[in-house]
Amino acid sequence: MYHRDAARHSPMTTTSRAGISVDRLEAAARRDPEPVDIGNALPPVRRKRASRALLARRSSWILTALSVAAGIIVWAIASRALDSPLFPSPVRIAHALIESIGDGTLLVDIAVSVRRIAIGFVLGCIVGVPLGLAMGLFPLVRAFCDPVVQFLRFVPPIAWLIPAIMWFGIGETSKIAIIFYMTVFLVLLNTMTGVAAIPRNQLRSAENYGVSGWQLFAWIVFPATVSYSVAGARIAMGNSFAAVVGAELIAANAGLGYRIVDSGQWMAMDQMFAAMLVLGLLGIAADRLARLLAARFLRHYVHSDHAD
Amino acid sequence: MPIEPVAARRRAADAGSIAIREVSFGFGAGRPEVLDDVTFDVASGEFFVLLGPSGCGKSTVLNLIAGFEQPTQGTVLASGRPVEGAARDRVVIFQDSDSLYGWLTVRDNVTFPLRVQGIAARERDERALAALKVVGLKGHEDKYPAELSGGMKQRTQLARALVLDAPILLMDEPFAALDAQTRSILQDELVQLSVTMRRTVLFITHDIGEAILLGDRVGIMRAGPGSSIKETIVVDLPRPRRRGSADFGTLYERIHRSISEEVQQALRREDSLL
Amino acid sequence: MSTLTQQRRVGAMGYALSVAVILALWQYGSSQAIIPLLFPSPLSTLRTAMRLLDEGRLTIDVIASLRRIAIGFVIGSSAGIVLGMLMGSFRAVRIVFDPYVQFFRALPALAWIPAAMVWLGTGEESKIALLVYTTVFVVALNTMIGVASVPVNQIRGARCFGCSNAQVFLMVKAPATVPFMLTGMRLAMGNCFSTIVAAELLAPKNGLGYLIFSARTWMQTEYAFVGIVILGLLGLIVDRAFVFATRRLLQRFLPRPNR
Repeated sequence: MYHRDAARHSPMTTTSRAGISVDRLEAAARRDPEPVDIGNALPPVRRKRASRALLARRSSWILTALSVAAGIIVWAIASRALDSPLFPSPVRIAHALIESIGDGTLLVDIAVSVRRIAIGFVLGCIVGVPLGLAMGLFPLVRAFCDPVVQFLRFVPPIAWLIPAIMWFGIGETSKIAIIFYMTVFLVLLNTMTGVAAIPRNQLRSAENYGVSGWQLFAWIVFPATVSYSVAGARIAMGNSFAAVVGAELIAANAGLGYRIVDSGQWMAMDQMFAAMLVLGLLGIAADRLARLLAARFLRHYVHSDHAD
Repeated sequence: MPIEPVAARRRAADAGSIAIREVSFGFGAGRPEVLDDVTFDVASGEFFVLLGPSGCGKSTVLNLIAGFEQPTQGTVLASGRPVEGAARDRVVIFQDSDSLYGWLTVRDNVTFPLRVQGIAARERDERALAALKVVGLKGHEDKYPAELSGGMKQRTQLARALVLDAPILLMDEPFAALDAQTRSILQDELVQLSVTMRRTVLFITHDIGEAILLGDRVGIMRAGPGSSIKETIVVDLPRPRRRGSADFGTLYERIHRSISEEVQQALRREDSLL
Repeated sequence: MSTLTQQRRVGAMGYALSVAVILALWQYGSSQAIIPLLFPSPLSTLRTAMRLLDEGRLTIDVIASLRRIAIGFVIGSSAGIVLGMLMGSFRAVRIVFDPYVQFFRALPALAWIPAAMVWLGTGEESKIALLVYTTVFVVALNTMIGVASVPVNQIRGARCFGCSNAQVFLMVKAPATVPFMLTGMRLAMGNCFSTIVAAELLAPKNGLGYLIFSARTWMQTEYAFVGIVILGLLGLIVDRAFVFATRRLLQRFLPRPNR
């Protein structure tokens, strides 16, 4: 959930909602058994021979595909056995999915939900990073805000939905406000931690070379905290999906969350599961995209001990 | 002469011996071989030091003897039998003390190998305390690894290895991560131990002085990749050895020159590849 | 008076000062609100809380929510630990389960609320099932990573000592993974609070979510604020209790900075 005191507390510094994957695990496993004293000219070594590694990768794809297929088959058998409209077969779900693509409702739902997330998230980052930096740099401000922050951490964003609705109405604003609040909170918190975590020797050597003021900020403080801000942003992105779905379940007339709850009211379970399937895939896609972007543009800023 | 006593004597002579014959090791197609035709023997009860520049594959040799890896070519024998995986007769002491179990006390760490064998609690404790006394950790049995200094952690590893009574000890740069004073103290203690306890020790290091101080014989490895043994030097200085003595210095120079040649060659090879 | 005690005193005073200032700001802000109905002051929130406490309403809601969380969390954590250990130790298990763990982690528990209500009704079962769902995958994933992070030399050492695979699993991998299990559980607990509030908002009968929900029904924003404040306090208390308990009981499993 939060990145606070990451370096001090847990071995897992960040685990975003849709974060860790098989790749990371395999990378970890690969790193371990390698002998330490292979010359620096060589790239990191694999444990298995190259040919065996290739076979292992192919076979893992096959196994994954088999596993998913098996899951679908089990589902199909179960739905046949239960024979109830409340438990649709994979075929019917696929049908509902195709229908919703065909008549455009799916696209509209996705667009509405994504728009809410995007606006809230982007605004949240824009506000959260400078605020976090400012708060991080002035320890008095941090000390002042600490009790409130420590308290608000534990209030789930969804709890603010009802007040938000009472203040901003049922429209877009209330939902975007929730995402905005949560993103600002997470990014701010993580950025603040980042500022506090700047290696003291980096600051000292900067002092040594006479770097100060704006230069110090732009060249040392900001780059050092980028990875923390990004970590916070990734967690916020992950939680945004849950937040937007929650908000749409309770008070909306469009969006994926709305589709889910609406289908529930009509007992149209096939439609509901189609929407849930899309939601899950969307979440995975968003996380992969975020990771790709971070790797591409922020590779040298993002340290290896944060989630890839 | 009846066959049996000869065979028995040979078996006894083999026990605790190590033999590496024409061993090669690599990680597969397209990757340079780590080891190429490595051959050497360690006699039972001998203290053999494997010395070489960084990255030459010393740890790989140890891993092969320990049984953590299998050679792509050649044979590895321990106590006259081929090595087929990790076993109790070859205990490894790692450089990083993260091989100690943080949730167990010193005593429990040392008795761990005995617990695995199902040995009764009282005997376990007796043996553990004896081993801890030998390594100088008496009184620290109930501490946790996080409360120990680096030197104490390595002593715990040593006690753990001793408690098994294994004939072969494999030590992978065990003192490299310690500060110089602790390292010096532990080196002296290890020498004492090896003299009294007559185990076979394969000791890996990149520190020439350490090699001469500790070893009966020193094997110098070539620079990697595709490393092998360049030469074996017998250290016939009388014990106790002093770092400052003239003989020590001469031997040091000789070994240093040999290794420098290797390092120079390796650098030239790298340059030619660029 | 030693400097440490002095420091602590100053720290505590600063803390109290900060809380006081923030409450004062809140009070001021609410008095400036255009529609006082919509933004209650700390005082009116406190008054409402006392009233609800008197009526017994508050106790019912708090206990209802906590009970559900406790049951769901325990079941989910146990299942998650087992699943995570198996996935971390056996490549086949990991590959088989990985697509599901990935997918269900990306699919928030909230999305399952309507389905849970259709299948399991609006009672306890559906809410507890949702909480189990919330907990299982987070804990499993963290546990799985923990198993992969066991220092390889610990496992190698164990093999040197003649440990069988089962012994390595139980005597080395499991204890070494404990800190990761705990991290997963801490994360899961936070998510549980989130899930239970949403579930109770949608299927209200009692609980803190219901309390917040009723703010809108009765146009009593105080109810929402009481709920929010209690949520924050509960979350804080549970988290601190968790950390305290694990430090006390499981200290030796936790990594500590080297000397």
